[in-house]
Amino acid sequence: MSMLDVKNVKKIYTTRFAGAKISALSNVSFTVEEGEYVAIMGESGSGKTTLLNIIATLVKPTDGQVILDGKHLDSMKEKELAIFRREKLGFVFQEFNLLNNFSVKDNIFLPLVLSGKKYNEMNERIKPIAQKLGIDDLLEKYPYEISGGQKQRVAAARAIITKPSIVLADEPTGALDSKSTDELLKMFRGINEDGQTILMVTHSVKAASSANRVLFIKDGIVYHQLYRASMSQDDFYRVISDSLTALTSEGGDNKGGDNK
Amino acid sequence: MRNLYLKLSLQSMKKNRAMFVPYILFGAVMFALLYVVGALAQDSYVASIEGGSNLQEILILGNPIIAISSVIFIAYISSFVLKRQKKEFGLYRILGMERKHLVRVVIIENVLAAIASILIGIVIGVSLEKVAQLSLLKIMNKEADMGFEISTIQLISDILIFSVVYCIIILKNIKDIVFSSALDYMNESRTGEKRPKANWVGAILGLLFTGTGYVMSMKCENSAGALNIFFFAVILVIIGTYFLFISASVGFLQIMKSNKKYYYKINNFISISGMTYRMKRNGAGLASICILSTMVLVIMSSATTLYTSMYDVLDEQFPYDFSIALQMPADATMSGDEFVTSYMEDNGIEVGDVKSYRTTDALSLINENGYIDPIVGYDPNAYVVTIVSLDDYNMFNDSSIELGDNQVGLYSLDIKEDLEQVSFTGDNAFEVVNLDSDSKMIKGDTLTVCSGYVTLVFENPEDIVRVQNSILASREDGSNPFSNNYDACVFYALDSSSEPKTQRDFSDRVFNSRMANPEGYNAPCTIALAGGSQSALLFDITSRASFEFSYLGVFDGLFFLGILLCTAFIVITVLIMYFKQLLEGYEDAGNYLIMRKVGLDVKTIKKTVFTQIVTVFFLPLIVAGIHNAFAYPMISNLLKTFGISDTSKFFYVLVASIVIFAIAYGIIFFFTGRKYYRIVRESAEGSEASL
Repeated sequence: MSMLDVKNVKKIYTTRFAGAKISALSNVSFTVEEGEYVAIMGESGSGKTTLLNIIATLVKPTDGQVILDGKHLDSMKEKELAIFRREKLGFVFQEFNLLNNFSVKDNIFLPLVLSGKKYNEMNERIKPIAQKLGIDDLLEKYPYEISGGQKQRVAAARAIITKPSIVLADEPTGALDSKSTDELLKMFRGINEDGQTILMVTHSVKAASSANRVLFIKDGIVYHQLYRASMSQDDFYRVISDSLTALTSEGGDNKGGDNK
Repeated sequence: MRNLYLKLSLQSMKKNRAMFVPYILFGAVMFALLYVVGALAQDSYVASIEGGSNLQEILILGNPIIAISSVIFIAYISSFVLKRQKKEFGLYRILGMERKHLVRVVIIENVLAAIASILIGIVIGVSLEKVAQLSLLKIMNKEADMGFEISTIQLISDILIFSVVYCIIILKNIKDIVFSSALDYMNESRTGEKRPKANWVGAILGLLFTGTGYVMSMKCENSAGALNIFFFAVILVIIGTYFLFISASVGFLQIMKSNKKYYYKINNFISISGMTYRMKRNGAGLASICILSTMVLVIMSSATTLYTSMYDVLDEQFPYDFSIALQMPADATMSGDEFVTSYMEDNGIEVGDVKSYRTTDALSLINENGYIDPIVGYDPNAYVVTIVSLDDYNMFNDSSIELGDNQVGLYSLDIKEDLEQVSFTGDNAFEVVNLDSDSKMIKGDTLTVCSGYVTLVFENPEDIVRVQNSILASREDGSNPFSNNYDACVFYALDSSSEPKTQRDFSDRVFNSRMANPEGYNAPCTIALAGGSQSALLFDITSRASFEFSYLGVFDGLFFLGILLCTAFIVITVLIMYFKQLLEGYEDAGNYLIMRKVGLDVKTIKKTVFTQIVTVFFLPLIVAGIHNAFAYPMISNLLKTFGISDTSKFFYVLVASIVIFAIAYGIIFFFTGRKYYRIVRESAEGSEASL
């Protein structure tokens, strides 16, 4: 059974004033197996963030089904969803989303505290993760005292400390310089090699090339997909890049491209 | 170009109207209150009514208080407004505006706001003055004044005061702009964010200052003591409160944080971290709310106690309409009672029964052994000692108390020690018998700032004469501490059925003729019956009616001033709460979404954030309640200066004031809190839509 099964998901937004309907996702279906590292690519406005938010249970789809770890998301109530989010999902956002009024350590603990874990247990769990992500000496600092790359590593630590079924990353390298990007992607691969399922949304070819599979979304549908197989990261980078070029040049004569 | 700046300023004010409208209205209300107090203090109709001039003297005290609070709090609130605008200013800077252009925008904005405030203030002030004058007349049970006057001088001076206030604010804002870069503005919400650290020195100072103020109040035993320490204790507690809210609160939260088991529980985890930042951001604002609430409670309770006790005080001090101290000549052809009756009737005063008695009083020091030492001059540690004979006491009190030889009856609410005997200079010692009630006679104008009041009742009037003589003999400089010689004059107490106004006019006439006495006001003067058939030496004449009018002026004036000051302080409190909630709302809105993404359900977020907001805003109220509990001894002693010896009434009024204020505070919180929720909801919905 797949870890994540997205079936015919549609999402239509209604604008608040004009009442005009905008289709963000027309019909999206795909699956992610356990232990996979999948990247979703697309231009801005292609609906990739909407898709991620639907999987994250933050937004309800207009139609279709999402089954995560055997659970149908559309049948859950807000309270169940909150528990589901913090136990089964880990998030890494472009804007880090760390809370300034908590120390780094407390930010990482936040989902565990929400699940009512004991302090000793949390302390045990954080040690190996902090070491692996190289943030041991930042734990007592506050988010406004550390750099963007460090913030993103803290966010990653927060995402995996709950041992989630899947880590959802939304443009995790979007706000980082190239050095921090490299470090973060290496870290993602490392986490994935330890068996963590990761689903990442990005428009960075570099970020996508660290994944094992890349899905291309365009105009609200899955348009194309690529497997890394035995390719090196550099080769995979080139293949992704070529596909992307082909995709965007074709886009010129594709109809329905006004859903930005 | 000039039009561009004007346009920019107007646009910015419109966009930030949630800040500017309350800011302008606040300035207007403060202006109006300042005008009302000043104009009433000069109102010619109020001056013409009985007690009016006493009242106006009291009202004038309110002027500097309102003016100073206006300066402080208008400046304080304008800093909120500027803070909120900074991001916009940063954008202007980045788009290529220079500092001097921004300065121009800020000046235009502030001048517009100032003009609006003052204009609206004039309208509210002038109309409110009439309402205030009419309600004042109603409070004083006087006829309404149908005239309408605008005090131009007061208006001009208030406009000048406020112009200075706004100039200071404009200079401060310009300083702010000149000394910060464009990036500072853009990052305003991030900069200044320092890790909250417990400032232990501040926390200890806070405890120390507040504690000292509390102890001073608790140790306060009499009105003289209360008056001495009042301002010092108040200032200590104000400083202490600021330290407590700014430093001690964060320190306390840090201690809670260091208990890992307690801290890492969902609710505690979110609340403690949230509160730490809230207290760091809002410490000074909350301390201000706390101080203002304390002042409102103190003023509300003491002014109400005074207002409602006025006639009790008057009845206690003046059980009769008149008291006249006379010495009849040795060859008098009529009794003193007859003389007094005829004399009063000559002056158009209808008299009833006349009671004659003797008494004297002296300001005296009393030591713990009961040694009584009358003094000349003033000493705050002294007591007013009134001496009467047992027969006179029983006559006034309609009682039949008996005293043995060498016994003295003593009544006092103020002497703390249980005296077994009292003694005077020479061999004059008496055993003390405690009495249950004071001698119910006119005590006259004995209200002074002193340690308290003592009434001594002697079984044998000759003892009084002997004691007085031996005290006078012991004074080598010939000074006389007594109000009069006990055996020299007789007092006559009487009630009159004449109009109070007639009574007062008579007492004024006597007063004026005594003032004209070349030997001095206190020197005895001769009065004679119509036709000169009989004359007598007048020592003193005390009229209840004349005191009633001056009391009315003072007590009603204090009550009315209390209402005005409470209004001003409540308006300031509401404004601070409103702006604080507004800023908290902007701060919280961003955090809501993050917490949801991390897996907190909406209900829990709402619950913990609501708990924090409630704690933050009700903490000042609770501390204000504690302040009042500790201020109680001091204020109840201060009230004794006004003749309120029984302070149980003050206690009930204080408790009632706290309850009423807490309810009002809750309502204010509810209404300002809606603004908070709207901001949080709108921005949360906004971010959801953009997902």
